[in-house]
Amino acid sequence: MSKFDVIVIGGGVVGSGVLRDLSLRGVRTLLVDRGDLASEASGKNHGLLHSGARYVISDPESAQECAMENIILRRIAKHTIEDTGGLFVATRNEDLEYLDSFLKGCSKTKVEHREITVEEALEKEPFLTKNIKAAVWVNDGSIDPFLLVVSNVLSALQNGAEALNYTSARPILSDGAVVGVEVLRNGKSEKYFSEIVVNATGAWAGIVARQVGIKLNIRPNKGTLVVLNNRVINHVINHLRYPSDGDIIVPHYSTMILGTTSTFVENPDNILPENEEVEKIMKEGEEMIPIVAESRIIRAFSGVRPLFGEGSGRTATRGMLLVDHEEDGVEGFVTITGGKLTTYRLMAEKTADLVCEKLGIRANCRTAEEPILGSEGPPPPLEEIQRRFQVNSLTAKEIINKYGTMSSAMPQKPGLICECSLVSRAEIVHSFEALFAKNLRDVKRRTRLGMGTCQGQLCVHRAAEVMVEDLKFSAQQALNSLVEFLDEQWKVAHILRGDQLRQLMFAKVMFEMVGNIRHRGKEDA
Amino acid sequence: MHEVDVAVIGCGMAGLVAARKTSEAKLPTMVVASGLGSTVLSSGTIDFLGYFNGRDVKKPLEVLKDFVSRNPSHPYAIVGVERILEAFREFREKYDSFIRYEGNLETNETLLTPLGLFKPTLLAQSSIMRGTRDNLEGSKVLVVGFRHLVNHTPALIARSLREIWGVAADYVKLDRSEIQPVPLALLLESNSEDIIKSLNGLNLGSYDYLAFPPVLGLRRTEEIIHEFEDSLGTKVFETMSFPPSVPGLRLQQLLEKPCIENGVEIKLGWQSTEIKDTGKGCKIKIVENDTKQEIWSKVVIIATGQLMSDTINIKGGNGFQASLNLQAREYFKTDRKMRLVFNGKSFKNIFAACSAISENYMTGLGTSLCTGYSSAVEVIKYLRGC
Repeated sequence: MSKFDVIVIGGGVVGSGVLRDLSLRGVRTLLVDRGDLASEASGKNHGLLHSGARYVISDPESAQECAMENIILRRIAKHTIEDTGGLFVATRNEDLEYLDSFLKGCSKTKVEHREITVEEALEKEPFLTKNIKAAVWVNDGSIDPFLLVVSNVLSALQNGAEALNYTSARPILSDGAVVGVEVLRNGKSEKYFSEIVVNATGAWAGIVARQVGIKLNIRPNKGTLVVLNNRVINHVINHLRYPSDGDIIVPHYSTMILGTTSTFVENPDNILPENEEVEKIMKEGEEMIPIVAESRIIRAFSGVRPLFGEGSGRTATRGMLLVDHEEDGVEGFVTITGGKLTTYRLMAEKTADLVCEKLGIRANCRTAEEPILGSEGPPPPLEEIQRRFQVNSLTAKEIINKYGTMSSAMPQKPGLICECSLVSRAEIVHSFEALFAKNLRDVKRRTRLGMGTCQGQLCVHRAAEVMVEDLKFSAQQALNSLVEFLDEQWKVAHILRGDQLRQLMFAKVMFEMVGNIRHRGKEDA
Repeated sequence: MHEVDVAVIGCGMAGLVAARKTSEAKLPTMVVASGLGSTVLSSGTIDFLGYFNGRDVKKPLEVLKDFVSRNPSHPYAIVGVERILEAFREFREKYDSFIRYEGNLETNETLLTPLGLFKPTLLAQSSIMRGTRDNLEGSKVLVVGFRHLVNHTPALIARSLREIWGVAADYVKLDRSEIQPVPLALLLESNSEDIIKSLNGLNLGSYDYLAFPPVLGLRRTEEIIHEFEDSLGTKVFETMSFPPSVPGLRLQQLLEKPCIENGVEIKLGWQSTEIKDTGKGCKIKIVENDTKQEIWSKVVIIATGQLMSDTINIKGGNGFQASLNLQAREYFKTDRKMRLVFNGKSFKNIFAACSAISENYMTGLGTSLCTGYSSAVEVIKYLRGC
């Protein structure tokens, strides 16, 4: 039997932020997630560090929060951020009607911005449509949400916290109070006790609350995104208009991510992108960056936002919802949901404030000042990384970009495994040994293995070999992991077209007919 | 305008088998292909029928009748049992050259895949067929890899052999600078001494087999294997591999050889954009970059496969039109005479080899072979007026 001060359910960005915040305040905290860290909405989004500009009219409070958090995250999580800057561009005459109120809104909410000439915009972004009517520079950035979550958890662990992924948890209700969670881990059930349980399960918050008899009106809202293989932009490109579908293109490593859409769904589980959504996003993207039409869709994915309150998909609040369920007659249970990636730290701070108050602990939040692991100093020099892992300078640069100061702590395993995304053998081993990866899908989230043009279909077997060669996995485990990885990649075959579809079918033939992955036991042979 | 009796579109297994057959029957034949297709990328083993009714097939001929009656739209059902046997027999007989295929029509063999699993297949290059599961059972195997040949995963193969199949296996990665299998095969084709020397440094005494990736030469594979065995005192075989695949290249060259000898012109790099069946013959528009040409051909055999095919516009004399872009989602339908069918109508002078890649049955290159062969047989009968 284990006893904690606080147990956080949900290993997304908010849960990991709460874990770190509490651990820095000396509160003994455990994080559990039924799946992998950042495997739902926290990993299935644009990876956009908002400047706040998008919300200056629709939600000025969020805009202001984003603007402030943007500056904080650039300081405390710099290794997960690419400082791209962003442009809002007007492509239609009616967009110009929005321009004035947009500029006023930016000033009012203290969102950093600068109107630039069309010529300057085209100089910064040569692939922008020549039809643009106006452009505003803002402080957007591109952020790696997977590494943000993992780094938060690692930082928390340094301060004595614990974290378990692939552990499903259900709050235990006893005499009107939540006293801990019952977890299921590797098929075994166990009870962990705590003073307070924090429900940080995003779109699942209503489902978890219901397990202790609380009605919480969370409205799961699906957003679809499309990944293109060619990064032709330097900045985040936003459509200058009232928030709508397909407005944003974010440069991410060597790709571009286009999105999103907004549809309410009944059940947040097993959400897949649809063809109509992809087509709509492509059409909107093309209006800003014409070459999008000729680009290769390498993947599409959908995440589920935890919206609440009334209104349509775009007007229901994107603000945060922090509830002490004492008001529902349940002690020791707190829900934090809603919000957005950019404001996760603030959400965590407010949650930790509430939790500490309930626990009678007086400790100040330190997360706005202290950097997370990876960002706590200057990264190691390029040459050192290149030499240490025997990789080319581009790969070494990617390693430093991804892991910051953690780069030199990775095991000294030489060579490159994934060529599209420049993933080294060291990163794969490191993911398993130090970053809680349990399988190759988890490795993908931590290293970007298989996020490039070939989608891992030409390298995942090399990664499976690493599992048996450098780690203690059995052949069966490595092959099972390989199949799971491929099945996940192949789930979106229905939205692919052209060469990418051809490549997917080719990979299917390669693994199923040459490799024979569907028959991997003695009894089958 | 070029004039031929038979124009074959596609130069993989189906197209080249068809072209060999029609050219052998003295029908002037031309092959047009936009690219090399997927045969050259394949593992080079010829699957026939690996799985059926949820089980692996040991004796494919015994279940073939049952299989075709239950899968009436499968290409095997259209080709028919007798002609399938003919196609395989002719393959064994006509393609016995610098590379030998082994295996008999009665029995599937199980061979080592690049992931260390076993798969049932009918015919394989002799170098690969030496490593059947039956042979490896109870033996001790050293899986040999090359440090920079990253698509070959000897550690995974050895572990699978040991843990899943109970075959004692270790692995070694030799330090070579080649990163692609074809250059390594070409190197070994002319000089195998260096690699023999580096293997001699290891203690190979206890191993019964050395399992190599398929890089032991391109055309001299048999001799190279003997050189290795004589110098090392251990039996040697090749595993299957993922693309780029040397056995696929060997098969491609094997299939091209009789076509070239029979005077078939292979127009590689030419995309067929439009085929019109006038009722008296076919007009084919082909293009290479900006150069356009037209071919007049009595009949056309479409053998573009599934994976690599592009869009072809096909027009029928009686007004119907099909735009075919397979892109892996469906395959050509033909009637019993191997004529292309679209919307229930058969073209008069357009035939098709209907490949059907299906992991469910593991019928792979076998369907390409049988439908390519069968379309040629039907074309010969038709043009001779019988």
